[in-house]
Amino acid sequence: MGTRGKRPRRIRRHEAERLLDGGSVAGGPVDAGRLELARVLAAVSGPALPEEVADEEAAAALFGRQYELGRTARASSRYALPRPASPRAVAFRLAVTLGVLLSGGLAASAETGILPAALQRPAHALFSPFGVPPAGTGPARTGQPRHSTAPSAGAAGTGPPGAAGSAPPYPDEAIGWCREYENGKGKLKTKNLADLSAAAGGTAKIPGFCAAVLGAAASGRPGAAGTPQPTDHPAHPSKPAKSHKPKPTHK
Amino acid sequence: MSLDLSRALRAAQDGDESGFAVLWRSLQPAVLRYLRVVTGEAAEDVASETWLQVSRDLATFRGDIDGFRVWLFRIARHRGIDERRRMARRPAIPFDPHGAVAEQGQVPAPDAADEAGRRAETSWALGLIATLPPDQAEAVMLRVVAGLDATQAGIVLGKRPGAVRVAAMRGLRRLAANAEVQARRPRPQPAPAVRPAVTSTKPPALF
Repeated sequence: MGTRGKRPRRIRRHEAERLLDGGSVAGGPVDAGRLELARVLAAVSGPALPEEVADEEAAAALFGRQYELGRTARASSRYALPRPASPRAVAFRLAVTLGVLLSGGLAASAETGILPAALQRPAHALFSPFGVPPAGTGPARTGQPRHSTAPSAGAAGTGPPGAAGSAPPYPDEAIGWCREYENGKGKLKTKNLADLSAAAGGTAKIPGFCAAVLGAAASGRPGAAGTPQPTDHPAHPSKPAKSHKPKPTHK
Repeated sequence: MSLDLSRALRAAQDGDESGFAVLWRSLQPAVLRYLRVVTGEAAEDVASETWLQVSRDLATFRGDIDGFRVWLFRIARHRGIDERRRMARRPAIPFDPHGAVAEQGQVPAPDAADEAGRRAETSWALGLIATLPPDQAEAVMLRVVAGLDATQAGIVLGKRPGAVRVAAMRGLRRLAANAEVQARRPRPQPAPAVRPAVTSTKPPALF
């Protein structure tokens, strides 16, 4: 009774490894108290019991069929779903995504007017059916991107401030007409009035059109542009009617 | 033995049934016992699924017989995990060592008693290991029954070898402290083993 009550020493790592390596206690000194543990391990790693390997023939027969199944499945997956198609499909999807992103960006650019002039018009033409408003026709147009082109236009002696690009949203003369229109309280030479009306899209739209044109001219390029309203800029008292002839910025 | 297995593996990889049969006969008991601890009653079914997958994919396997053992038990483990998921809603069925023995009531072989004793012993030991925390039970089974070293068992379990060693050692300690194991400690005066027939004094009816 005395020895049975004694608790065996705690298993250490090396001893554990020895027991696990085949459950043997022969590899070194092992407590008598380990013998029953070694017996447990030996029991689970013992030779096959007859019932455990009774299905050998069935397993082997199944093997033959499954082996063939696996081979044909792999072969068909290799040829029916060719691997090279996969990267191509990925590339195609990528291209479509890029295209959508690019056109979206182009549409946004067309709307905000930051594209180069050569692109601006085609872009607008492309996207206007989808509700993208043209750049520069609204009062929102400020014209900063064009600022650098204004001097050259002025040097050429023809370009009024708002029309520096190759696609002026309104006739060059519009600013002059509008000044004349506003100063003369609606009175204008008949031909000019007709032109202004055509440019504005109708006589009734002239006031709004001119407000936009003059607003753009005033805020956009005061240096290169004809002088805006005298009341706004008393430092530049020039004749409004003639201001559509730009002053050359350099000679 | 290992050379035979290597040759059998190569033959089986080429689709040879008898080669596969050698592999199966040699490794099925270990697979079955491992799965008894991991999945309990479903072990036989899961073992069958394991070998089916092995059969299907053996042509793509690359490696030697040691690598094959690792591969085999990885598949067995994953099939066992699938099976446990299927049974997830049911409470875990504890391993019933008596059930396995009871099934084999009628074995009229000359060494029936001896074999029945071995069967009972195996079932009892598997049932003990199944009471361990799962990570310890798996580590012990893969080391002892599957014959994998700590590194190979780590590949099967997705653990580092050190973690496998610790789990297996803890499992052994827990087993050693188990009351049933303790009850089997040799007495100060063991019964004199005069005849080999002494083993038959432990009839399977005891288990």
